[in-house]
Amino acid sequence: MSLIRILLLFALGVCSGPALAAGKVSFTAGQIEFAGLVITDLGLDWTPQPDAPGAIAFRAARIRGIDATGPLSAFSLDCPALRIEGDELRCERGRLSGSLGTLGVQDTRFKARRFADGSLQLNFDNFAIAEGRGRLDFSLRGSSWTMNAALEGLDVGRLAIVAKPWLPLPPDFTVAGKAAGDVRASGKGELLQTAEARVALETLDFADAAGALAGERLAGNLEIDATAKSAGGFATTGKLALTAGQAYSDPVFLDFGVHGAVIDFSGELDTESARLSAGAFSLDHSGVLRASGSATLDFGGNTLLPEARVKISALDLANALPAYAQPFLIDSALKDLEGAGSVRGEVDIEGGFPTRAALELEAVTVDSPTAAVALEGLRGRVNWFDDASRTALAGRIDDSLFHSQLSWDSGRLWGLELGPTQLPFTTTGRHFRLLEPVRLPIFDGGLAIETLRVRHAGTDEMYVRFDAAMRPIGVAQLSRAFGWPEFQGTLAGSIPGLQLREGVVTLAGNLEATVFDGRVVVRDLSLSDPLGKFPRLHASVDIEDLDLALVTRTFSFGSITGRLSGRISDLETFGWMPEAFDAFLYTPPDDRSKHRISQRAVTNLSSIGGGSGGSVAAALQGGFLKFFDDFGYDRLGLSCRLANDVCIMGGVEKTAGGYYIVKGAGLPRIDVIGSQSRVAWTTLVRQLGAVMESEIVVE
Amino acid sequence: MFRWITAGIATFCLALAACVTINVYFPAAAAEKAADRIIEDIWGPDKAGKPAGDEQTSTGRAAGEAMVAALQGALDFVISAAHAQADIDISSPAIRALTASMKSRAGELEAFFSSGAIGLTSDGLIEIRDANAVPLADRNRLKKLVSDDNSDRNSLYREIATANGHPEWEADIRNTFAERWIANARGGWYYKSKAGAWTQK
Repeated sequence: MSLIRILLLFALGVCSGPALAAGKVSFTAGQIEFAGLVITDLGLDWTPQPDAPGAIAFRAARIRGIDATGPLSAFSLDCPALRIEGDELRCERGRLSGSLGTLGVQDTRFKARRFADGSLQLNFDNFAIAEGRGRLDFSLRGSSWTMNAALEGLDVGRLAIVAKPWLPLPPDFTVAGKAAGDVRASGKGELLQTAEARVALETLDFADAAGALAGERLAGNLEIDATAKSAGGFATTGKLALTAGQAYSDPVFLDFGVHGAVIDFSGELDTESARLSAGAFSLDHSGVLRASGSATLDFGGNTLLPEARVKISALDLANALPAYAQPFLIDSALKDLEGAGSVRGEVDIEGGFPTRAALELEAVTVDSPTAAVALEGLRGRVNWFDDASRTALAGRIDDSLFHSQLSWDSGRLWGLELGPTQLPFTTTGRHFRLLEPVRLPIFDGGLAIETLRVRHAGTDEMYVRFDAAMRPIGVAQLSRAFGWPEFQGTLAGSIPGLQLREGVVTLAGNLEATVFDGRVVVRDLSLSDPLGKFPRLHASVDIEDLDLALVTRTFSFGSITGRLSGRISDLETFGWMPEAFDAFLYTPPDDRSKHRISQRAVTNLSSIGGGSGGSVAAALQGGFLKFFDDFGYDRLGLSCRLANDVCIMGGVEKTAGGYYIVKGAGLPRIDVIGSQSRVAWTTLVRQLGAVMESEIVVE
Repeated sequence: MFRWITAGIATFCLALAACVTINVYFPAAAAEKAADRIIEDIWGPDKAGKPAGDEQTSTGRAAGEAMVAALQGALDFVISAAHAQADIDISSPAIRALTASMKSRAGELEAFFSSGAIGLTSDGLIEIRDANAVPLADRNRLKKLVSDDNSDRNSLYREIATANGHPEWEADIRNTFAERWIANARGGWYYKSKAGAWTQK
C-alpha cells in the first residue's frame, strides 16, 4: 500500500508537471510532505519526447510515514516509456529499486497502469520480499486491492517481520526457515480480507521462549484459505502435510521424518490471540493415529490444546505409546511402556485437561521392563471421567456407562506369571475401584481379590486398599521367578488390609509361608516409597521348625539335618539392601530329630565364623577325621546384629575367645567356634555368596 | 533457706539450658566438609582447577576455623568434655547408594550444566533454565534426569539428617549443600539466587 501512495505521487507528478515541448525538467526538494508521507531529498526528472510524455524518473533519499514497512531509503522509480491515452496512464518497462523497509532491497522491472476510473494495476517481474523473490501482481480500486504472487526462496523469519502488522506472533516466539509458494490476497486499505496460500515449507524452525513448543527442520506443504469475518478473525480452512522434521509440544515429541502427518481443518483463526478454533479437523499421523473432531489450538497461551473433542478411529499402540504415552509416564516406572494392538474411542479435553475418555482396546499387548509388568491379549472397554464430569453426569446417564471392563489372557508382574483375568472396575479422575471380587491366577495358585481401591493415584496423597485371600502358590515357581535358589513349599494365607497411605505400605495382618516343612511369618511389614528407586522396608520375620536337610540341600551348603528356628527382628532395607536387623537362627530347644552335620557344612560354617575355610577343610581331611562323612552335634546357631555396615556375630553359646556356632556331640566331637565378633557386612555377603556358589563336593 | 533452694533451681536450670544448647547445635563446618566430600565424589575433582582467589578464601576460612577450633578446645578444657564437636557421618548404605546413583547421572548432567540448559537452585536442587538450549529429542530425557536427580537430592538431605540421628537437621543440611553445590560448580555453570535470578559462575 505504501507503493500505491508513492505511485500516486508519481502519477500526480507526471500529470501536474509543467508541460514542455522538449528538453528535461527536473524538480528537486529537500523535504516534502504528501499524503502523510515525509520525503527527503526528492528528485523528479522528466524527459519529454516529441509524440509522448517520455521518460520519467523519481528518486528519494528517504521516505517516512509508512507504518507497515517502516522508512524507505535510496528509493528510485524509473519509467522510460510513459504513455497517456485519454484518462489512462501507462508505464511499460519500468524499474523500481531501493531499500523498502521490511520489504527489503528491491531491484525489479515493473509495469504500471492507471485506468480512467482511477484504478491501478502493478506487475512486478522480480519483486524481492523476505530474501526471496518472484512475480507480484497488484491492483487497486479505491481502497480495495488484490495481490497475487509466486515467490521463491522466502526467509520465514523475515516474512514474519513483514507480516507482523497483520499476523503478529506471540511475544518471544521465534521462527526461521525457507519457503516458496503462491499467495493470493485481497483487502481494503490496511485490512486483509481474503488470503489464499499454497506454501511449500522447505524447512521451518520455531520456538517459544520457554522451549515448551518448538519445531526443528520441519518440511511439508501448507494450503490455507482465510476470509476475514466482520466480527474479527478469519474463517479458515487449511491442510498441513508434514513430511520431515521434528516438533515438541511439552512433553510430546514427534518425528515427522519417521511418521508423517496430514491435518485438514476448518474453523476460525483469531490472529490477535493466536488461537485457531477448528470446528472440524481430521488428522492422519501415518502409522500412529487417525482421528477427527474439533479442537482449539492456542499458540500464545500456556496450553497448546485447551479444548478438543476427538474421535480416535485408529491408534496403533506400537507407534503411539513411545510418542504419546511415554512422555507422560516419564516419572513413573512405566516410562518404557511399549506395546502393540489397536485402540479406538473418544477423548474430550477441556481447559487443557482430559475430561472424558471412552476407549476400546483390541488385541493389545503391553510391556514395561522397568515396572516388570506385561499383559497379553488385553481387551475391553475403559470409561473414564474426570471428577467434575462424573459428578455432573451422575444420575443423568445409565450407570453402566461409568463401568469399565478389561480382561487379559496372560501377563507377568515382578516375574510372577499371571493367568487369564477379568477385571470389572470404575475409574474417575485419579481413582480406581474394583466392582466385583476378582480371581487373579498366579502360577499354580493365585489371589482372590476382595477389595482393590486406589485414590489420588500418582500423587503424594495416593491411597491404596487391597484385601485378598491366597490360593496356595508353589514356592519353587516363586523362587525361580525371583531368581532365588529353588526351594519347596507353598505360600498361603491371606493378604489382609494391605494399605498404601502417605507413601507407606502397611499390612494389617501377617504374611505366612509354609516352606522347608516349617513356617515363616512376616510381621509388622511396612514399605516406604514403594514405587520409588529406593524403597525402604521394615519387617520382622519369625522362622519356625524348618527342616535343615531341605534348607541345606536347596542352598548347596553342605548337608545338615535337624530343625532350625529363629527370628529376623527389625529388618530395615534401603533400596532392597539390608541396612539393619537383629537375626538369630538356632536349633530349637525341643528338637528331638537327628542332628548330623557334614564335613562341607562344617567348613562353610567355620568360614562364616571368621575361620579360614581352607585350613579347616585341610584339618578335616588331614587326620583320622577324614574317615567320617559327617558328625553329630548338640545344637547350632548363628546370630548377626547388623548396624552401620557391621555385623556383630554370635552363636549358641559363648566360649573363651569366641562363640559356638556348632556345639558338637558324640565322638568324634567337632565344635565350630566363631572367633570374629565383628564382621563387615559386605565381607559376610561375599563369604556367603562364595559358599553358595562353591561346587557341591560329593560327600 | 529459700535462697538456697532458689539458687539450686537456678543452677539446675542453667545446667539444663546448657545441655539443650549443646544438643541443638548444628555442626556447620563438619556438614560443609561432608557436603564437599559427597559433591567431589559425584562430580569428580574440578579438572580446570580453582581460580587463585578462591584458594585464598578457603585458606582464610580454614585459618578462621582453626582459630574457632582452638578456642573451642580451650573452652572444652575449661568447662567439660561434653562440648566435643559433633561430626557428620555420611557412611550409611543409604547415603552411599544415593551418592552412587547421582554419580551415575553426573556425566550426562554435566553437558547440560555447561550449555546452560540447567542450573543449581538455592534450595539444593537443579532446575531447567533454558530448554531451548537442548535438542527437541533430548528435552524429555533432560526432564527425566532433572526429576530423578532432585528426587535423589531430597532423599540425600533427609538420609544424612536421619543417619546422624537428627531428622530436624534436614533443612540445615539442605542449605549447606545448596551453598556447597554452587561453590563447587564449574566456571560457566548457572545458579539461581533466592530471589530467583540466574547468575553465571
